[in-house]
Amino acid sequence: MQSDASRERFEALYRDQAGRLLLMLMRLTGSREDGEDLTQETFIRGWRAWSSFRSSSQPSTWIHTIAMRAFADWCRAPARRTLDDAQQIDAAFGETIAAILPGTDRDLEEAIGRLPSQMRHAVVLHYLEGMPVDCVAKQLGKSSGTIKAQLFTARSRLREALKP
Amino acid sequence: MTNDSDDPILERLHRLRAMGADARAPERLWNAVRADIDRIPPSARGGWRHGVAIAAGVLLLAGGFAAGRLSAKAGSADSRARLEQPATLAVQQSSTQLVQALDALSAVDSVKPRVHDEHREVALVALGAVIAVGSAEYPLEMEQLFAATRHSLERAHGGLR
Repeated sequence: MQSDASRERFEALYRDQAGRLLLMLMRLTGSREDGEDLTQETFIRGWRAWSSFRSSSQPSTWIHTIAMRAFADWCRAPARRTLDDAQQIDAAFGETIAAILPGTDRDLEEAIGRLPSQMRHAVVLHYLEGMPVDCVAKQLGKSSGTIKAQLFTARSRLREALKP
Repeated sequence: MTNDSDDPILERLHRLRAMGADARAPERLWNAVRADIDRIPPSARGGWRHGVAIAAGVLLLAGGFAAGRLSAKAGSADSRARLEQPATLAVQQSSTQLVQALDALSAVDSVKPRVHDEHREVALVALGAVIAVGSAEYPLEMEQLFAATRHSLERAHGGLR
């Protein structure tokens, strides 16, 4: 049984990390609803495993790993594979993100949201989450070369989309 | 390819990354998470319990087969037919307990049924493997084995609904 102190520590972890994880998951899924569902799922999975969490590792890294697993499961859902990119993206993606991150660069968020999903995932994980290319490749099940090529193409597309 | 510092897009992406720490999840999301957490009783916390329950169920099933096989080996060929009925009963009881254990877990921890579906799939695969091994070793017809298991699965599900 988990004590009140344990529960308070878990709530503190939520307060510290939920915003950042929600932002990442919304950007990855292109949807506020899916982002919120995955954030909720992440913390429920975290709570289930909380008693076995070792304080020698960083709680933020631990919960981030759980979030990435939840996202990987989301990607594997059969219904997800039949959706095309246009269906996955909220119409007002920038506005959606701005709701949890006021002052964000809405134009850039919109342009990222319009990228094909695989490319968007690479951009979010590498540029916005700071994940090394080889880790992104492992996470997305691609080669490092493919991810580098996707990042290069994505930057070209973003440059084109944001041309004044 | 990714460290071109003159690229204005990269600069904007880096700025966006730096802002990420300021993101705030809406309070209603915490309320939803808290409600889910409150619904999970202490006994259901911790994934290892699912594994233990499934392992126990599979062991029960395997035990049923092992007991039946030993009984059959002890008897003559003529007496094997008479031993089929107790063996069928052992299969029924073991698989019923396995399914009841899984359903009890699902009922307690119904927050995300998908998680339990995964456990259920693993358990059913294990169940299938045990049936396959058991039927190869034990002189009971495959059809009878599957019929017995299906019957107990249906009875367990029907009883819990």
